[in-house]
Amino acid sequence: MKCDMDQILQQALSPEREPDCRLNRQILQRLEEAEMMRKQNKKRIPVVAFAACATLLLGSMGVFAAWKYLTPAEVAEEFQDEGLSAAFHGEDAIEINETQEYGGYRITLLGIVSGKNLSHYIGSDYQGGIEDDRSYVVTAIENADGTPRPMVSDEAYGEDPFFVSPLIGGLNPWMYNAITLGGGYTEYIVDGIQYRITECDNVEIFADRGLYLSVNDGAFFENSAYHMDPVTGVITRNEEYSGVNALFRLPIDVNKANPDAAAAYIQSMEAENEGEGEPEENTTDVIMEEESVLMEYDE
Amino acid sequence: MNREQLEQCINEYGKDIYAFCSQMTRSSQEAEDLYQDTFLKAVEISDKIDFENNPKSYLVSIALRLWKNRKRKYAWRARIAGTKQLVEEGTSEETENGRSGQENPVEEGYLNKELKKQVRDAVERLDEKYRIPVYLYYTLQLPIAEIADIMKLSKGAIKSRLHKARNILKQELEVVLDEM
Repeated sequence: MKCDMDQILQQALSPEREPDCRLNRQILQRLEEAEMMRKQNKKRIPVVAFAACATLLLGSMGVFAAWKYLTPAEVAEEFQDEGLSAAFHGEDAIEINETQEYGGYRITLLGIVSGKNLSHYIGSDYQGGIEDDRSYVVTAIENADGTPRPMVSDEAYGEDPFFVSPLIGGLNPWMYNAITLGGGYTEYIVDGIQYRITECDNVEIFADRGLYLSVNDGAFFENSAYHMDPVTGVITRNEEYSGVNALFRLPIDVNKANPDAAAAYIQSMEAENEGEGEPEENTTDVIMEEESVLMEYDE
Repeated sequence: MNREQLEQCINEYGKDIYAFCSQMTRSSQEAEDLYQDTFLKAVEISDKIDFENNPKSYLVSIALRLWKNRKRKYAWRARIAGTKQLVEEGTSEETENGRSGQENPVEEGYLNKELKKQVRDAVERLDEKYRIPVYLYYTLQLPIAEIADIMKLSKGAIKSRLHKARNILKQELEVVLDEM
């Protein structure tokens, strides 16, 4: 039976599909484009322009950012999302270019755009519903000492994760953040800078409450990094927090607020949270490696 | 690595790497992305790859690392648009982006299509720690020592996992195999 099983697995799992020529040509094409992009990015910071930026006052970090970073549209292009790239070129997009530095990291909020069917890609919630009305925020994260961020394929990638999230004034950030707002993200490293597109349900409906973007260290929202005033609903950084806790205002037009839609959203969120029981007990999958049976596989 | 070397690499190992990417991602769009990124990453670190000494293992290592990082990256939400499930061999379903792979004329041997599908489905249900060495051993036909290198485990651990995987599959497929 052993030999039969070997033969069965070999036959069933043998490669039967080949990559077609189009795919292989795309690899060569992407290689050439990557080389061209690197040359273009270097040209984006010519010596003369850099010198000019260096003479500006400290409060002009935004101007420096405009030279140094990819635009939100370019970041979307990196992910081959032509729809989102076009949206970032449109009049509804807000280019922000604000930088904050905490805990050895430089965080730049590049821009935001919201709307229906913007992205080339469509997400779904866990019940299979299509998520088409979304907000997209683009950020850039760098090591403050200038060393490059690890590439996605590097071993070190993910060792210092960040959580990027819109926050809503007056709503407990622990309960209303990128995860609970149906969020997700994709990211890419270009020239040592970690670009991330964070998406979630469209937050414009809450524009009259005050909207923020938080960036904290760690893989999830860090409650201790921020305060919310229970009376005013204003969200601020916790100055005592020792890690990364950047906080930006999202300058979204208050006229885009929709109080009825916002109330309905909050109601559905609260209904979803009601009646949640105790979390399921974690089960640990323990497979002992010390199985003593060694099979006669050909080496 | 220059363009000619990359082309040679693709010609020699592309089919195996694509097969591995297809099995790990189970989606033609993601398989294509992973396949492309594997070779592009290989170009980046080509000075660390010994092309005289079986570069296939290096390429597989790269693909595996990229896939694991992507799994983490997409932990919150699964992207469904722009991805199509791999179609069964012989079906005529076309994807929006065209067929993602060409089929080779396959000699069925004594395994019919249905049985192959059941075997592949059973392998897909295996825990990742068994599934990966099964693919590396049976699909890519890598020796135990190279699998151990790629997965950073001992040869004994690899043999143990393959043995366990076979036992699980034997149990799962018992009824089907008895009908053969």
